[in-house]
Amino acid sequence: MSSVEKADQPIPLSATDYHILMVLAEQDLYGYAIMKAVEEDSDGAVSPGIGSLYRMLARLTALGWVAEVPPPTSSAEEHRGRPRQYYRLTGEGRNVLRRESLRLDSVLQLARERKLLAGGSG
Amino acid sequence: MKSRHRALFETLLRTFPRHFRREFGEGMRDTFAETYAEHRAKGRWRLSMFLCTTAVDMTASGLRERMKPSMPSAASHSGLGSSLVQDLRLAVRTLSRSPGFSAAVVLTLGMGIGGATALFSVVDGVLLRPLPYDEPDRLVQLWQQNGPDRRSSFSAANFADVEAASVSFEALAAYQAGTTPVALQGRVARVGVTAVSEGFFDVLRVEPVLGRGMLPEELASDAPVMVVDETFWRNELGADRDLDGLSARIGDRVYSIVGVLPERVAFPAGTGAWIPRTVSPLERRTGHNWQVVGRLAPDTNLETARAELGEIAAELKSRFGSDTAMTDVSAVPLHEQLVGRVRASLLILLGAAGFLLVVACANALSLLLSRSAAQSMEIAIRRAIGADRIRIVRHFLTEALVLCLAGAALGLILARFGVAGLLAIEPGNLPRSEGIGVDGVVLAFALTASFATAALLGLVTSTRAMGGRLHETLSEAGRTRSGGTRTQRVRSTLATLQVAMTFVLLVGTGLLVRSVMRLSAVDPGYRTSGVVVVDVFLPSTTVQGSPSDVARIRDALLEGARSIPGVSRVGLASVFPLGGRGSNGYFLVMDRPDQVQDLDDYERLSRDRTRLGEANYRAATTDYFRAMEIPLVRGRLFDERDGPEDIHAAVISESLAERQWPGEDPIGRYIQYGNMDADVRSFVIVGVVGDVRERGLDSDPLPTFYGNGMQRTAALRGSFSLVLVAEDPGAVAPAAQAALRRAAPDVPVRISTVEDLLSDSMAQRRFSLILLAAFAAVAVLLAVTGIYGVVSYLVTQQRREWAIRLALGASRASVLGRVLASGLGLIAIGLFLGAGVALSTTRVLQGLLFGIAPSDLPTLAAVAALLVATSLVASAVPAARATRIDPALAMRE
Repeated sequence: MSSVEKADQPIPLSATDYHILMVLAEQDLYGYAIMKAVEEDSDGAVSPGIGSLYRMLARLTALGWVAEVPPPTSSAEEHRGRPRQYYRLTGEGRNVLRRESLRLDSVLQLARERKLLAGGSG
Repeated sequence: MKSRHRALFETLLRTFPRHFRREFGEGMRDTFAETYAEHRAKGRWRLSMFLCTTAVDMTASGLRERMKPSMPSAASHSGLGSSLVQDLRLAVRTLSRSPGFSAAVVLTLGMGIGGATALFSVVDGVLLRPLPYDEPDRLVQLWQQNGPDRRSSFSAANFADVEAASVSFEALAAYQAGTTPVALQGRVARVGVTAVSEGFFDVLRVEPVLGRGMLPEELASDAPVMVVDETFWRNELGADRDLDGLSARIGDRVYSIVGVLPERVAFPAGTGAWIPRTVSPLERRTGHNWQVVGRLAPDTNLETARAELGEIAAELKSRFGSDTAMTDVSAVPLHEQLVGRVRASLLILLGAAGFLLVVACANALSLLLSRSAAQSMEIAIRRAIGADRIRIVRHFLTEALVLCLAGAALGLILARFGVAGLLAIEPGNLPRSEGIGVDGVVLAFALTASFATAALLGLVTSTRAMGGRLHETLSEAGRTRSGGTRTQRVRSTLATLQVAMTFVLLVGTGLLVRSVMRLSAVDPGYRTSGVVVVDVFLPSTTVQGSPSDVARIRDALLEGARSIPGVSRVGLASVFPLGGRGSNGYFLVMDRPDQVQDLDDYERLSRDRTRLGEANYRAATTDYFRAMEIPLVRGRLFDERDGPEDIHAAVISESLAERQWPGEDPIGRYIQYGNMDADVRSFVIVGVVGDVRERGLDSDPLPTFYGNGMQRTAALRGSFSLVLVAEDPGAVAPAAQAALRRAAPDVPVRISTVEDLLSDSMAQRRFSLILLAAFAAVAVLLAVTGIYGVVSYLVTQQRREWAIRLALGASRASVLGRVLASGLGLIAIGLFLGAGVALSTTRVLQGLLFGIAPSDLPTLAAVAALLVATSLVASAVPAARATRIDPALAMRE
C-alpha cells in the first residue's frame, strides 16, 4: 500500500528517509553509525529506533536507493568476529535525494520570501 | 550485556518476519549491542528507558512489517497465513473505527496484565530463577541445631569436626560476613567484607572475570589477599583493569586485590570483598561465629546428607557433652535459605495481581459483550447471505487478539515502570532483587496471559453473537437489540464476579491497614521522636586492640556530639533497638563478686542450673536511658559511684527481673557473663529499667541486661550507637556528621532518626500494603465501571418499560428505587460470594497481620459498606437517567 505509492512518487520524502539518505551521501555506514549520524545531523530531532531504522533500510534497499556493501577496505575492523554490513547510497538514491533537496530548497526560498526566516529573498 | 536483555531483544526480533530477520537480523543485533552499551554507560534509568522504547519500536515495526502486503513473505503464500493477515487487518480497521471502546478495553486489559506481569517478574526473579551458580540445586546452607527450635551459626570447632567427618559433601566452607571500614586509596568506605575458609570458592564454583581467585595456600594461611565483587570494582576501584599494586586496608592489615568476581555471584548478599580466614578449631565450642555453606557430592541427596549430619552431631554431643550446644545439624537448600522468608508474601501479592487480572478480564469481556450484542444484527445479516460461521468466529477471535496484544503491550510498559516503582519502595529486604526485571521469560508470561485472555474473550463473544436463532434476530430488527437478555445475564454475572474479587482485595487491604494502624499504636517502651541515632563502626584494629582505644574513640565522639548546637543530651548504647544487631547469652548468678576467678570456676558453678539465666547482653550509659525515656523502675542508674576501678554496675529490664527473680529483689546480685565480651570482670545489679521492644513493634520485649557503658568498654568493640536528643532531628543530622568526623576522622558513622528506624521496621508490611491497596483501587475502579455499565445497559434496554410505567403514573422515586435495587442485587450477590472467598483466602495473610484476625468482622463490614456505597453511586447515574425518560418519546422509538 503506502510503500508502493511512495515508490511511484518518491518525493516528498519523510524526514527520517531524507536524513538516512543524507548521511549515506557522505560515506558508507553501518546500522549504528547511521543511527548516530542521523541523530547528530538532525540535532536529535530525528532518532529512529532499531526496528524502525532497519524497516526503513529494508524499504530503501527494496526501492534501490540504498545498497548493502561490504565494509570499506580501509576499515579492517571486525565486529563480533565477522564484518559489519555497510550501506551505500546508489545512483538512483542520490538522484532522489537531490530532487528532494531541490524541493526543500524551493520551500525554504518561499519561506524567506514570506519573511518567515531571517535573510530575506535576496 | 546482561543475558536477559539479549534474550529480550531476541524475543522482540521475532516480531519481524523470518525473511526480514535473515536479511537484517545480524545488523540489528549489532546495532542493539552498540546502542545498549551507549545507554548503559548513561546509567540505569537511561538504560531502562532505552529498553522500553526499543521494545515498543521493535514490536510496532515488526508487526507493521508483517502486515505489509507487498513484501513477498513466506506466510502470505499459505492460505491460512494470508487470511490471518486479512483478519488482523480487518480487526485493526474495525477496532480503530470505535477508538473509545478499543481504548477502554486496552486500558482495562493493560492494567490487569501489567499488574500480573509486574508481580510475575518479581516472583520470577526472586523465587523461580535458579541461583546463578553451577548446579545450584546441590548448594546447601548448614545450621548448628541447639535443640529442637534453636539454631545458630557454627562454632569453629564444631564446623571443623563436621567437615572432617562428613562424606556427603563435595566441599564445605565456613564464612563470616560483616560490614567494616575499608581504606581504599586514601578514602574510608563501609564495605561488606566476607571472610571465607578454604573451599568457599569450590562450593560456589565461581571463576573471576578478571585476575585470579584465591590460591589454596592463601586460603589456608590467612594471606593478605582480597577478591572483590564486580560492582565494587567498578564503583570503588574505577573499573581499573590493571590489578597490579591495587590494595585495600582493613584496620592495620593491607590486602592485595588479586581478582574480580562477576556481580551475579555475590554471596552472601551485600558482599563487596572476600578475604581468607582460617577456621581455628581452638576457639571455644560455645562461640557461634561461622556460617556454613556446602556443595552436595554428586552421588548424594539432601536426605542422605541430613541423616549423616545428624549422626555426626550426635557423636560430637556424646563426646563433648555440655561443652557444645549442638544437638543436630540442619541442612537447608541454599535457594530456600535465601528466598524462603519472602515466598509467602510474594505469592500473596501474585495472587492479588491474579485477582486483579480476573476483574480486568471480566470488565473487558463485559465491554466486548455489549458491543457484540450491538453487532449481532450485522452478523445475522452476514450469516443470512452465506458467511462462513468459522470465519465469523475467527473475526471475533482476531479482534480479541488484537485488543489483548495491545493490552499486553501497554501492560508491559506499565509493568516496566511498575517494577521500577516496586523496587524503589521495596524496603531492601527482598533477596535477589538484582535479578528482577522485564525480560524474555516475563515477556512470554505477558504474551501467554494475553493469548489466553484473547481466546477466552473471543470465544465467549462469538458464541454469544452467534448463539441467537437467525430468523429471530432478524425479525427483532427495529425493536429491542437482540441477544439482550442473554447478554444482560452474562454481564450481570461478570459484574457480580468483579464485585466478589474486588471485595476480597479490599478485605486484604483493609486487614493490612488495620494491622499497620495497630502496630503504630504499640508502645515500644522508648521515646519515638526527637532522637538522632548515630551508628558508629569501629575499625577492626580497634576491635582487636585494647579497650583503652575503644574508650578514647567513645569519649571523643561523646565530647563531639555534646558540642553540636541543638543537642540537649547524648546517650550511648552498644546496640540501638531495631538495628537487628546485638548478642545474647547465658549468665551466671553468683553469691559474691569474686566467686569466679577463672573459667574452671565458671564451668563448675554453671553445672548448677538454678544459677544460670539468659538475656540480651548490652552496654549503655545513664544518659541513654534518660534520652530514650526508658523509665527507671527500681534502684538507680549509673553514676559517679561506678568508677573505672569499681565493680562493673548493671541494670536489667523488668522482664528479666521477673523471670530470673520472681517476687525477689534483683538489686545487689552479682552476675558473671562468662566470656561474652572478652572481659571476665563481674557485674553488680544496681537498678531495674522498663522493657523495650528491641526487635520491632511486633515483637515482645526480650529480657535484657545492660552493663555500664562507661565501665564496660569491651562491650562496645565493633560498633555502638549514640543517641542525640534534639528538638529538630532533621536539622541536627548534618552538623552531627561534621562534628563526629572532626572528633574521630577514621570512624565511619551512619546517621538516622528514631522515626526512620521505626518506619523501616514496618516497611515490609507497608510494602505489601501499598501493592495490595493499588490493586484494590484499580479493581474498585473496574468493578464500579462494570456495575455502571450493566445498570446503564439495563436502563437503555428497558426504556419502553420505564416509559410505560411512568406513563401509567409511576412516581419517579419508585423508578429510581427499582433501578437502584437491580444494581444492589448484583452487589449483594457479589458481596456474598466475595465474603466466602475472603474468609477462605485471607488466612494466607496471617503472617502479615498484627493484632487482628484474618476473618475480622468489622473490616469485612466496613469494606462491604464501602463497596455498596461506591456501587450505589455508580448505579445512581443511570438510574437518574431512567427517571428522566420522556414517555411520549420513548414509546415512539
